Amino acid sequence: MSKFLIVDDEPLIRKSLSRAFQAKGHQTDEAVNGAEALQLLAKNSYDAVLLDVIMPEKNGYEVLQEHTKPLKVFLISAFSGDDTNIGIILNDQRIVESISKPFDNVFEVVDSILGKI
Amino acid sequence: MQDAFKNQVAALGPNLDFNPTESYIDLIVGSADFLVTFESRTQPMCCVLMAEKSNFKSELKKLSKITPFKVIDPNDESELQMALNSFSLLVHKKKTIENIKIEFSKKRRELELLTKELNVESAQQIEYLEKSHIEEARKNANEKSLLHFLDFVQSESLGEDFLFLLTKFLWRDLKKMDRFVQVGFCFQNFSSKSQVFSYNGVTESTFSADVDFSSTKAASQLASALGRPVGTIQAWSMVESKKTAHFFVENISASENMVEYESYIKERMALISLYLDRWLIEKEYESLLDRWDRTFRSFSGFVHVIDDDYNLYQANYLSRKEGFVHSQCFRMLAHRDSPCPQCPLKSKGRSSFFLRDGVRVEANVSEFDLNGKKYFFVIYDDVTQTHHLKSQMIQSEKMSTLGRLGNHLAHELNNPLTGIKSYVETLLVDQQLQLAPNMKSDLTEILKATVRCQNIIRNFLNFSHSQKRTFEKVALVDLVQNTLQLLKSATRPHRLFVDIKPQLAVMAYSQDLQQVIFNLIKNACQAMNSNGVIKVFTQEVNGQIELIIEDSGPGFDAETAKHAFEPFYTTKKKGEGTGLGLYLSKKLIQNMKGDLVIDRLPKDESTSGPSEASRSGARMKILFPAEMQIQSKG
Repeated sequence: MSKFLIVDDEPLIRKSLSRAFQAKGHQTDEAVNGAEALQLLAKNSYDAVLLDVIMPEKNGYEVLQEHTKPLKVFLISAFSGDDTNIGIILNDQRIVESISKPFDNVFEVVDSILGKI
Repeated sequence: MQDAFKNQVAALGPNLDFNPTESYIDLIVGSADFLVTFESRTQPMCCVLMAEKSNFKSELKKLSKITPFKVIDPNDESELQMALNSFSLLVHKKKTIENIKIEFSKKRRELELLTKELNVESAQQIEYLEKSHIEEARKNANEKSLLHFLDFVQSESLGEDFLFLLTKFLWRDLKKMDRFVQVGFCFQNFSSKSQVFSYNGVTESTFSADVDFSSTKAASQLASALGRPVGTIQAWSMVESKKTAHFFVENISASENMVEYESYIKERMALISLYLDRWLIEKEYESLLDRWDRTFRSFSGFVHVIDDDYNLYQANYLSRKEGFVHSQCFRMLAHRDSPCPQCPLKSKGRSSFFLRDGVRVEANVSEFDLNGKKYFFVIYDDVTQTHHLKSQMIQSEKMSTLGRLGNHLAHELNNPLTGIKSYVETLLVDQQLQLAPNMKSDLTEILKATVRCQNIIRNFLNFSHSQKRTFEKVALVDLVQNTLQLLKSATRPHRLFVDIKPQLAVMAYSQDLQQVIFNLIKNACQAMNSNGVIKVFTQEVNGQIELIIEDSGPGFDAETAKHAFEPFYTTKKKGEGTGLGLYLSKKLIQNMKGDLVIDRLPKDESTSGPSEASRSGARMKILFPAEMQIQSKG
């Protein structure tokens, strides 16, 4: 059993991912923004973090910049192509994969992540 | 008689103290022997021979050289008296003759003197006459030369090369009076520089130099300007001229004939000044006119001056030769028979309109009065090109704004949509929920809707995405279907018939083609109120594929059809259309070597056959010529 932190400002995405992981017997925490994610990261340890990029109250970049400890990160992004900050985090060694939204099937995404941790 | 004798007593005998050869004797009386003694005399004298009548002949023979005046008998006293009387008379006569002779010769001398004087006088007279004749001839010549000069300036003063001819003329006259190196003029030209024009009998030369002919330095200034030593310079200021102008001559050295040619020059200077002044002013005027004309003509658009009856006075699009009399601007410029409806004269300001087919202008009017008459200076800026560029710019700006907005919107929508879809997916597989079958089917419907939403968004992103354009194989049926998906709400009120052969494919920029099809279908929708019919179908005519988009709206009227493909032409309400859709659509298709045309002409000009007569809607046709087609069909 693994423990995941799911960070996304879209509740339905958070909830669907949580449900999908729980259905596979894993444990999940949820954070609605970067600030909350940092708090949870400070308290707990996770096998992987699913991190949205564009969020209010600290975005994905800021989370990665402030939390410097080793971590397995799966970016859930909807890059529009003109995001100038992308270069900063694409070099971050902690990022395992960048999953683009919208995803076709939530279970496929969860299976893919489970296969990579 | 007695007195004569008193003083002239003849010596009566040889003993008298008397020199018979030398003493003055008027009359001598004596015998022949006595008289002989006087024969040696040279001086004339008169003698009376006294001889007796009886032997006077022999007595007479004794005298060889003297011829006695009278022979008298010595005894006859009366005879002597008579002889003496007659002699006295003779002497008197002789004396008188003598006197007269003297008088005569005196008179003659006087006469000679007089004649001499007269001769001198007449010689003087003749000389004077001759002189005055020469003078007159000279005067005549002068007058003639002056008249000739007058004739010359009057006939030539308006000519282009008046200055040259004048200098040459003066040279011809002046060279008769002296030897000159050159003669010429110096005047200030329009830019207040000194312009020197001179002639040396062979060539004329003109140059601008700082030579002040009113100063004594003129010679050295001229020398430095010419780059050669200069002889004696004489200059005369042209007093009548409004400009600073001089006539000058150059001699090798100071001249003796100066008086002559100076008077020649002075006599003409006033006239020369006046004519040269006029000529220079005319030149200046011409040059200004020319400059103005050039400025006028250099303007890339159209410029003209008209009065309020549209009569042209000046125009940069007509040559001066064509003349502007009786020509009106709307005929010459707009090729119309009546004033343009959007004439800037009516709006008295800026107006923008189609001057004639394909030429869009922006016109500006300024008004001015001349001699109580109103004139208008109209500038037409040809903005056809500008509009073309502007329209492209607007469209690309519009597309990029739309693209960015769309991107943003699509991503914003994708987020919750992904959430909904994922959540429905988890709900559907969650065994613990134990969903009732109808709930499951409802959730499936929701899932389908989210999938449809995702497809729409994906389509839109593909459509608006600023990817690199590639000329690629495009299946028409897919492209039309994808496009129709984006237009669902627009097409909803209408009936839509699509009939495209599935195998048809063309080489095209798919995004451009999609944009064109999108525009055409959207136009069709907007042209109809509701319950319209839209047909999208393909046909092959003479090996050419045609994609036809047809509606049942009001169609094009003649005027609209004429301008439909012009930029910024729109029949839509303000804010609804930019008037760029058809224009750019045609450009995009032409860019792929195809074409976009209005297939069905307006009702009254219909050529589409009787079966189409009742239908009047617009029918647009995209033409794909053979070169755009994929050869592997069938």
